[in-house]
Amino acid sequence: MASIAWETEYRAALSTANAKNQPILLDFFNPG
Amino acid sequence: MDAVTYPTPAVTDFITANLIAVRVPFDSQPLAGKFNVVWTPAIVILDPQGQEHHRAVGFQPPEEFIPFLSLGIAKCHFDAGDFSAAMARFQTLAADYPASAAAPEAVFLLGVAGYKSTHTPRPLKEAYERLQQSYPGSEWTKRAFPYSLL
Repeated sequence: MASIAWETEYRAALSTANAKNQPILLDFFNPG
Repeated sequence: MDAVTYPTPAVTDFITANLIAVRVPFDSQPLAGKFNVVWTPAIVILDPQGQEHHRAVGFQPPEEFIPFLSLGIAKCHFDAGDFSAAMARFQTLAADYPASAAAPEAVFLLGVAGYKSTHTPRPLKEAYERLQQSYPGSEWTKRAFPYSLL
């Protein structure tokens, strides 16, 4: 089953989003 | 979200096709401070330059999460002045998820984007009529009430 390819570094996600011209889903979660 | 919403195949597919997904702990600084995070889950939709356009706090079931994400993407286009792309997203959201919490806002913004595109009041009036018919109790119907007078 496919799963979401979460990025864990915001800066890296921003760079990818810029390169692909795609919006970002930023999830602040509680790791417990 | 991890137990129910994110593992849902339709949610996974939608995120993979449309968004760059990033997760950080709620106390990760300076990011949490920058986005004023006070509760989790806090889910923020940003444009490719990192500007916020939409957010939600708290659990969202799969049937609400996809329209929430879709609304956020549409608002990125809307706020950038790309009304054609925004309208396409708003229309799809309202058609595919009419019972979702995001749908009334999508119909409202569809009217505004239509007005911005055409500079005629007709899309605003149509948005109000659609809201009044489909979502009479929504706050977005109240916000659109002045358009009924156009």
